Amino acid sequence: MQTPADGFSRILETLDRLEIPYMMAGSAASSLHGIARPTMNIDLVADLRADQVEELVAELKVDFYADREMIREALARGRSFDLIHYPSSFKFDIFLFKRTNSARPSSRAANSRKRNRSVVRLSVWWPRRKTRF
Amino acid sequence: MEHPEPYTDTDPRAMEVWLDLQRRMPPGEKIAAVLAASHLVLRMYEAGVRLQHPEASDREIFLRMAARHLDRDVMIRAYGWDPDLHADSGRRI
Repeated sequence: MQTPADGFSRILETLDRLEIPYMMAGSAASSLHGIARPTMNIDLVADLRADQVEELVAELKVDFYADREMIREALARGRSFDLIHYPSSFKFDIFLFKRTNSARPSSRAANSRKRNRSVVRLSVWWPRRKTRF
Repeated sequence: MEHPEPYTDTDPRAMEVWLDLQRRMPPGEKIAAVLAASHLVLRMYEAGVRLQHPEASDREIFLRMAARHLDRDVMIRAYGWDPDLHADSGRRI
């Protein structure tokens, strides 16, 4: 059985590959600063552009419910959209980055070019391998 | 350190040890712990559904488990399965 961690890893790999800047938010992010608690969804903030939607959906559609129209609508209205990891039923809520936000998400590529103090780079040890995000 | 409200049933000495472990845990391990705990919750949902529906197929067990934490609208959109058509789905109201 695939786990929420498998889904999370898959999303981060995809965002990295497409160079879509992102950062964690919500209860999972707050766990970093306090007590680790279970959650039934993980929130991410992503700086997704309209021209990246097709590729994002193409990358994720096998393992995730990722509705192209819903994502486009979210972009147009500045709302969030959800990705459901089919094998685990775990939900990921993607909030779109707004230019007025004080913290700015950052892509791995951007991080390699400059230091961004608002982004915490983490080393996560998964059961099979180490994933850096 | 004052104990967080949800943990007042924990012995203060045990609590201090546990909080210290949490403080020492690297951020990546914390996220991994969150995800592992979330997976455990899903498995517990699944076990509960199996008890309620011992003759259900694995697919039905999965859908009923998912319906315990996903909204009806999401279940229909993602899995094409309407929890309301299964009156005993155990979905949150």
